[in-house]
Amino acid sequence: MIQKNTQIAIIGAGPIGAVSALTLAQAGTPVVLIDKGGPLNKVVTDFDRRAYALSLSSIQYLKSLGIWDQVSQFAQPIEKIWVVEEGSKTPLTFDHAELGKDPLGAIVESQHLLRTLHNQLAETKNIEWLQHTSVQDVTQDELFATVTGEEVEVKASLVICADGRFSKLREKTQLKTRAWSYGQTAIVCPLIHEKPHNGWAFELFTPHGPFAILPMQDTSQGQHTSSLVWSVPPAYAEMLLSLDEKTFSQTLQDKFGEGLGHLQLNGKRWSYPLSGVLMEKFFEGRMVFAGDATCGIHPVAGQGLNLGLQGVGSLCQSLIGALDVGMDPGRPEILEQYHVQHRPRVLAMSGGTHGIVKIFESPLNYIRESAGLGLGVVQKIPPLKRLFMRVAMGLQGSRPSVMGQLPPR
Amino acid sequence: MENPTSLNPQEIPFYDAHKDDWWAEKGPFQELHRMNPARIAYTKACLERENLGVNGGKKPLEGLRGLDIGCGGGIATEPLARLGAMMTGLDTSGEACQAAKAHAQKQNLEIQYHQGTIEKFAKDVTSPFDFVVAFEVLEHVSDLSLFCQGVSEVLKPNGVFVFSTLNRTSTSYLGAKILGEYLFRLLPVGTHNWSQFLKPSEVRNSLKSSGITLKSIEGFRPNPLTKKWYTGGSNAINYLGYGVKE
Repeated sequence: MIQKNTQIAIIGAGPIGAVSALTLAQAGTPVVLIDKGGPLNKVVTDFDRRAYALSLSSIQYLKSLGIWDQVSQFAQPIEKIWVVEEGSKTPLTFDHAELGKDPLGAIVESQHLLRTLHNQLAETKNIEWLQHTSVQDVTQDELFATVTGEEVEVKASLVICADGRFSKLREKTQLKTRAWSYGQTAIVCPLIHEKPHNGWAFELFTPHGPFAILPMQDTSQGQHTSSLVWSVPPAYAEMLLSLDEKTFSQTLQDKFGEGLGHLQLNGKRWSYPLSGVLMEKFFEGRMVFAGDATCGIHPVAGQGLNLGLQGVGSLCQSLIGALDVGMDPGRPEILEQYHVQHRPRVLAMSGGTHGIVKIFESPLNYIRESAGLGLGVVQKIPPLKRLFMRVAMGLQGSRPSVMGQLPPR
Repeated sequence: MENPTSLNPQEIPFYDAHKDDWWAEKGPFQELHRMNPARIAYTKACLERENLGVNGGKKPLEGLRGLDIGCGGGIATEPLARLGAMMTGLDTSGEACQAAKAHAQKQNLEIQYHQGTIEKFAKDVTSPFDFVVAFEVLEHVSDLSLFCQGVSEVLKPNGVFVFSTLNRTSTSYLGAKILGEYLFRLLPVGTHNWSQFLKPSEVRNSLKSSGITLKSIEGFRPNPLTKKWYTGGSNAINYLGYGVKE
């Protein structure tokens, strides 16, 4: 059994764990990163085709970590968002020009972000990356947490747990977590279409769930592509997944119309049951949770990773500040700073996305519709619309300085 | 007649009784932990201003000898040691010293802990200190002149004395006693005796007659929402300050 000592250990080398490691290491704090898998170092075709919507705030964070230039080669900027309720003629549109010159955000396939992060991890000093190491247990005493793997034992003052929405580490604590199902399955797949998307993202709200087409970069052959995220009841999802490619494409075409010209499925269809998770308190003793482990939300607004990165920013800011004055980074009054800063964001985003999803399927929807309280109303109230945009771009609220400056506007 | 002493003997049983609570998450000393990052940051800044060995990097206090008077369980002693200072902790509660020793040992921190008063300790000191800190201590001292005399004796010439304490104002009566102890129970009832709180002028005078010049006073206050403590603003309740030995 190999023994290691470190001030900070991080479990999970997904985007949240990797960004935590890079932020701390770049500030001069050595970390031990533990992950059950290895590095993602080449483009793979059968990788999970989920894409992340990165807000302007998240993009600035990646810039300050020095990796945006690489990620941006695979990222499609979002210039406009077009939202409409099924059957309605008045869309709600968000145009980046209403707030400034920067795009609203960018869409990048998860594998490209992860590959860039992993390359950077390998090149950054102060990071010791224990690969193919499954965590079997984490135990704690007054001063240390000990992470046990098959062949290694890591003793740390603090363990950052970034093991995702279905966090096993969370189950090792007494921390209260609420979990719920949305009774929906998201179907995700790449599309090719006839006309260029011009950086537009489309979202159609239906009583069964939201239907979104997100702009992706053109292929090297110049084909226009987008990514579909369609949330539907599980039985419907099963039916959609069983359709042959041609019929599936035709179903999409019927649903979406001719806005992008001829639509065609361009690869495997992936599906994910949609659930929500919310932790009441983000730490217990010397285990602190980050990312989807603390809060998993519905993808309707594409904010899951952005929310997680804001949390990482707050956590790392508290830790770097604490280490700078010789504090033990695992002390509750240090972790409390992260909790106090991030908890309101989590509540707002979890509650907000939940509300958006539920309102369209609730019985009250009929009343809302007949009263004409549609999305079109927001369109007519510019300050409310700008607030929506600011929240989606990650511009609202306090910004930890480790996330870098926002561009001047 | 007894020898004069800076010690208030009535207070020791309280600290002896809480020997296991120094590092508890929700113990009687939680507020001291919350104050701690700002107190250490202030100490670092003062030492830097007086050109005492702050050289950036991970161990900015390397090469400095420091004394923490009223160290309790070592709440401020440990971070100063982690920043590279060779630290000694001094407390009148023997149980606190024992707890501090055990806590430092488990982390391989090299810190000396002694039980006793500063005036007695000063008699035994052979090599003087570059800096002395006394956080939330002055308001518990029964003879401030004697205390300051002791601090001066253990400091090198140009050595720095950093302290934090409570001001004796109507605001502090309301804030620290009524709200802090009785209403919000941030501190155990009876932690403080308001009449022993010190106006900055009183601290200045006691330090001056011991050969230490007060250089600066800063307000010190918590953000009620985040519970984080900040330096700056009004010094009507808590304040930090430092002086330099002539």
